[in-house]
Amino acid sequence: MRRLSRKKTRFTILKFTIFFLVLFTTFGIVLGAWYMRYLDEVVSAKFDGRTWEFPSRIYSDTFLMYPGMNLRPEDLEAKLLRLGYRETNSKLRASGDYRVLKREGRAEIYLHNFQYPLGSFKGFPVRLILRSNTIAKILNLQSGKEIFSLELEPELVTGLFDRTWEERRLVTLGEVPPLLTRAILSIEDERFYHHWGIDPIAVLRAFAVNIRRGGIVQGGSTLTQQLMKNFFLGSEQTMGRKIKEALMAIVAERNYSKDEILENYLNEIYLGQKGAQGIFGVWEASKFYFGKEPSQLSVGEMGLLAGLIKAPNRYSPYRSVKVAAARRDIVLGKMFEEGFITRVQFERSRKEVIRPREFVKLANDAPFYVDFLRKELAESYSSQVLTSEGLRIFTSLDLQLQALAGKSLAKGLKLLERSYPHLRESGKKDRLEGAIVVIKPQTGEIKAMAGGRDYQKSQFNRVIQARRQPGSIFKPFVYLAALIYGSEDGAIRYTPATLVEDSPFTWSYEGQEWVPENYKEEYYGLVTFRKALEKSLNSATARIASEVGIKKVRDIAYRLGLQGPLPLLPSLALGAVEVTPFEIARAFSTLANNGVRTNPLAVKQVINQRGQVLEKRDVQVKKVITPRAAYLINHLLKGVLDRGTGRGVRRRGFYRPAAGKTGTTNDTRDAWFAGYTPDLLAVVWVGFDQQSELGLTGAQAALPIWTEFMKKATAGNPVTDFNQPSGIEFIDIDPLSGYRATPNCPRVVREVFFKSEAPTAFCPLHPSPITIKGTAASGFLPWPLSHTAR
Amino acid sequence: MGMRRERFSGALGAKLFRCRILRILILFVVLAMVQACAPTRPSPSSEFRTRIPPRGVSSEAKAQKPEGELKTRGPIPDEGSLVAKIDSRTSPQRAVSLRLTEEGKRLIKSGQYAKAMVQLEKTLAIDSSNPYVHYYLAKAHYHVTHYRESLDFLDVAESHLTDQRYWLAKVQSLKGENFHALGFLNRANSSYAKALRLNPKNREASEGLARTQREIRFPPRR
Repeated sequence: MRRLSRKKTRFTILKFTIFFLVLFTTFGIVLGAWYMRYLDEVVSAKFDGRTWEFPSRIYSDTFLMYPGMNLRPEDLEAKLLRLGYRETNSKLRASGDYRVLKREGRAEIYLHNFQYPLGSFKGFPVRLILRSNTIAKILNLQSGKEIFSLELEPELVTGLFDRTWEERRLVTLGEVPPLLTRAILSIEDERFYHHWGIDPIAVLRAFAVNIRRGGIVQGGSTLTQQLMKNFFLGSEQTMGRKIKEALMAIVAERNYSKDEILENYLNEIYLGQKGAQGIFGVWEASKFYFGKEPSQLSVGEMGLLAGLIKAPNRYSPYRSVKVAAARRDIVLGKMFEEGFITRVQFERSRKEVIRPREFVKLANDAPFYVDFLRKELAESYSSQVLTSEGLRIFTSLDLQLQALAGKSLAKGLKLLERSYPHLRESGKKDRLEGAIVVIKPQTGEIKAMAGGRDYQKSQFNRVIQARRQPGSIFKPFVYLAALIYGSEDGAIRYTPATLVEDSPFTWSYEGQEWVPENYKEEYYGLVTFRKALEKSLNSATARIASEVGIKKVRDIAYRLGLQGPLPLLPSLALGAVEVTPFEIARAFSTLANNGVRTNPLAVKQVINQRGQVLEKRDVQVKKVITPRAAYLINHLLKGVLDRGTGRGVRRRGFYRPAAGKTGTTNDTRDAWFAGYTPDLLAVVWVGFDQQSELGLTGAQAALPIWTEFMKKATAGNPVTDFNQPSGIEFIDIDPLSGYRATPNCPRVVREVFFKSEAPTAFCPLHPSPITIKGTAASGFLPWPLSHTAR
Repeated sequence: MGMRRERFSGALGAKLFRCRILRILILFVVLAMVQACAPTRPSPSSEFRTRIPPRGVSSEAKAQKPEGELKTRGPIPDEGSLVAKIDSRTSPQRAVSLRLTEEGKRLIKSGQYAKAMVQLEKTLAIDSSNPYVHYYLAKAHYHVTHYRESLDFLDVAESHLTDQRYWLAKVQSLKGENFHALGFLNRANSSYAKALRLNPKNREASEGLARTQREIRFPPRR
């Protein structure tokens, strides 16, 4: 009975055991099937969706070279290195090679291929004949013909990315040389075409090696497993991760062909680091390590590239040529063993010398400019698009000018703090800051921008965000309005020789009175229109503005390019409004460009990954004042630099034809300098963000920074002057009377006038019998002069 | 008999006279119809162009003086290659600028307007006083229907080309094309007329003038 009961109990246990076993197995199978289905979906989504995130890349402007252009070999070399060209001692062999033969006065470059927004460029070798830092001739070495202009591709400035910057260019399997694929397979997964995602033989082999060596020295992961790890998993060494990796590999192998997996691998694999940029995929790595496209690689270079996969930074030729060569030789050995290369190829490739190279780390040298671009682009593209769609953004940025602008500003501010200790005192609570913006007046291209002295400490871009009083820098708009319109009642036509009263003056306007005062309350009495501007005399300027009418002054300021609100108040004439350095730069560039206003241009073209142009921004011009009015005001502003408040520019050694104006606010909280040659304009502002008193004039604080920048920025460029348009004439006058000079005038100056507006009468202060004979009686006018402004 | 003959001949004359008027009237109607049905760009030899001077252009007759008389006011050069303007005195910037402008011109001719614009904008940065670059930029903008931008460039070109009547005529003619495209027929008319005063041989201007005048008189149905 007991035996029967025990038997029954055993049977019940067995029954339950079987039941639970079946239950668990079924549950396991269902769960496993569900998990595999989940993995299947994940893997398929990655493969089919190709969800790589491509940062947008920002490029500088291209670099145009032509015969007659000044070019120092060292500048050319620096540019080529930044563009990823590699120096060679022998003949140019492949795209990206260059050599500079200073003694022989020539440079040879094998130009890169480059995909421009409106077409692709196929590189060819060229020779530049250089004579005393000038390009004498450019030859196409392929055709032997002379060429008259040559463009170097734009430089990559930075990428716009979300968390990490993965630099990658996708390639199809057909674009990768088969030998490179074989090299990778031979060292990473020689049985790739024979396994189904995991390779038990490789696992056993690795296990045996690791046991023998007493540690983990070899892995048994297949290429598919590596891809799954890179796609979905972290680098943690756990059993769970390994199992997941294996399962995913199986799923991938079941759903996709070997070639599809291999293509994804060749694009996904991490192959090094260049500053903030991670180098991913064989195309990008080939460019980074050798400056070549994969199709141009030698067998040795392919071996080196394949060898890098295991530990890109350890085997990097940038780090150690010796270590890189040893690793390359291992790969070459494997390739030879597998029969992918012949013995001759093997031997020759092992002898290939890996030249030690310094890579130019990509650092964003134009952070304020890039912020400005982001702001501009945000109007058309979402942040998500900008950081993941791999747009290529071509800009007006000139990296050389940008570096100069940034350095000049930082150095200039430091020098100011050293020369004026009170700036450091104020700086404890409010640091001395500055801004510089550089524009090409002819096109409106923004060539450089530094919105502060240190981007790491303050990202506030003072070029576009700081609204400050311009002070005297506004005066040229008053003088231009006077030259164009004359006095409101039509009684006075202003010329540079018109005499203006500079004495204490009260301007009554809409029931209120305004009394402008000169700097240090110094008054000059009767002065010429020119002198009033050159010396930046407040009282004389206010008188002119009152005669012309503040509306006309405002009209001119708007026409030139100011955009913010300008109140119709007398104090506007002396710059009692708030503007940004950017607005000032725009307005002055209209003067530099002979009265033609341009739209500031930073973004030129935007193209997507397929090379389609999404956006093209053109140079836009608008003739807003006549060339002769622009010439006249430029001539007056040249005088500011030669004799006036801006003469420090000349003292500091900048002698090119240039025009400019200093600006200081009454409370000396803002110091400005806006100046330009016919080809380049720069505006500098110096002050404190919290409006602490600067106690310095524009000539003391901003002018030195401007001069330092312009001296370097224009060095080597041909000297050009402002073109004289028709309708302009030069007449010798007596600066005291403002009339035509006589032989008796002790001082004579050659003054510029609109044709038909030059004084016809001779100087009444120093009459000469000769001029009396030669002039009509009406040639002399009684003193005080009838053309003196009231 | 004589009387009858006289009376007869008088009646016949009257009939004939009426007939002539009729014929002339018919001729005018036919001419008007031909004109209305003519293509928008009549051939340069169209008589209509020279017969009807534009309104308000008092000096139009002067502008159409014989060639010999015009020559006394300065030669009108042929439009050759801009590269031909380069000589030993040309500055390197101007030289490269002229070459690039010529390249831009070639791109416009081949219909590659966007490329031409990029090329010409580069040229502008090298030498903005090159008077031809603004003209060709205007032309490229015109072709991509940026008429206002084109007019802006033409304004600048005009101030650079003060002494070159041949080029000024081209500028005015292109202004006319832009105004016409924008629907400002009177302004187009005036620009074409100015172009013809500067260079009576400017074909575009003469065609444009005829077309615009026709459209002013017989506004096309919109």
